[in-house]
Amino acid sequence: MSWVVTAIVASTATTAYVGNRNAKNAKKAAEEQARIAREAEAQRQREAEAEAERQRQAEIRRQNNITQGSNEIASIFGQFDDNFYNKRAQDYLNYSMPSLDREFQDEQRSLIAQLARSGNLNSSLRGDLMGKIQQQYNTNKINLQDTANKYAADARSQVEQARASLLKSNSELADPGLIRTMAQAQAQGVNVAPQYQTLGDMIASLSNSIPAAGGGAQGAQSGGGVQLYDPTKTGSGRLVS
Amino acid sequence: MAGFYETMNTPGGYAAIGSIGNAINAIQNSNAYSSMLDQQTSQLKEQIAYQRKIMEEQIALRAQERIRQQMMAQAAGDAFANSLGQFSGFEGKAGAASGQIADAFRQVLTRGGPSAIAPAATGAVADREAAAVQRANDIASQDAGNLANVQGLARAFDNANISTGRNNQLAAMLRNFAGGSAGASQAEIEARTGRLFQPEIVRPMPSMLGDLFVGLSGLGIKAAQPKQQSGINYSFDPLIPYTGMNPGGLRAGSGVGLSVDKPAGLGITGPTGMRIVGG
Repeated sequence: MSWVVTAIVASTATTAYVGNRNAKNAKKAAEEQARIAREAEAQRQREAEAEAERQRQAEIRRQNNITQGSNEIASIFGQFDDNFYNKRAQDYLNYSMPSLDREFQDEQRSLIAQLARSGNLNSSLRGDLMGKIQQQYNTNKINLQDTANKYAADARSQVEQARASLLKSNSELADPGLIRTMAQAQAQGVNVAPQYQTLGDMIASLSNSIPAAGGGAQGAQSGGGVQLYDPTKTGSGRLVS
Repeated sequence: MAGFYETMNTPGGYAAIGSIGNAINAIQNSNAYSSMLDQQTSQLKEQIAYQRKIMEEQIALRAQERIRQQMMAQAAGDAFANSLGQFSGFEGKAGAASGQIADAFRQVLTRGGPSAIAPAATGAVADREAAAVQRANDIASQDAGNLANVQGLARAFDNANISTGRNNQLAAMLRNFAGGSAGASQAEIEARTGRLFQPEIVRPMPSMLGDLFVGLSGLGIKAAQPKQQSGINYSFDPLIPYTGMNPGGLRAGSGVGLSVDKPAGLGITGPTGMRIVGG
């Protein structure tokens, strides 16, 4: 049975040796595993940091694009200042005021003619009627200026809406080139003059308030007034101012 | 030598060899355990240093982002303050707007109209006419002034609303920037949160000797107690009434000190059912 003891002793020695070697190997393996894990983690982290840096740079580019787009809008819409709005109002006055002046002048002529016909050309009635027609004229001038103000205010509102819409698109698109094109198109749209409403009759006729010849305050005094024209003669009877 | 063999080739001899083996086993396991602790300590140090580095980087990133956010919040606050300012001294602003509108009305009222119609009135009639026209002009001026006052208030509100709207647009843009920057910052911070942040430490493999010698010592014990039946013959339990050299406490499949760390399937386990009978 000595072989059994020899085998056990040999086995013990071998196992001790192998065990010792394996323990060293296990330690090395563990260290290697730790090193690999560290390197893998470091690599993963480098990639994650690179990706985060890409995100940061993309965000900086996006913000720069939005800022640039915003500046483009401000630059293109810079033309819509007080001068633009004042001009918008003035354009309307230039359109409407001559019509009012024409109506006023026509009504004045009509009144003078009717006063002359009725023999009231130099009566108190003339003063009253001239005061009334002047009041109408003034009221209409105020109305036209008020309408002009409204056109200017509408233009301002339109510009602000367009600007707000563009800025919203700018924040979403972050594309200054596209925003510039859009802003130019919007600005052209705002620049188009609005369609004016037809003016219609602004001054109501006062001629029918003048009594017919002979029926007025001075009617009985035929010829008391100034006869500007002879109704028995042919002619337009139109007064020349 | 023959006497040694004869002595060793007995249950007591087996137990002696097993005890020696267990002693070697204990030493090696102790070394392995010590090595493992050294390694774990090293890893912990490394991990703490890593965490400190990461924390410092993250703190720096957060500080940078905080500055960015504060700058944007400051700008948004300025825009808001500007909006509030639009409504301070509002009466003065409304008055100024009224003045502008009144000027426009005045200009349109006093602008040169069409030329006078001949013949002009004379004497008292002319005076009456002039007075009536003047009265009409006075009324118009008064109306224009009243209208300008009303419209001035509206225009001042309009101007304030336009400025407030623009400030809101600016604030919205800044909020947009703040959100984007916060997202980028979050990615930066998360990128630095490594897996080593987790309590994950690489562990050394346990010594393979433990099981072998535990088995060997068990063989001797089993040989000495042949009547005991067991599925796992080499099991050695402190509850077993044995007073030999084996210090006890060793278990098959466990090893010394590495019981928690031993991966399944690693190491050499004693053969189940193996038995040496007789001498």
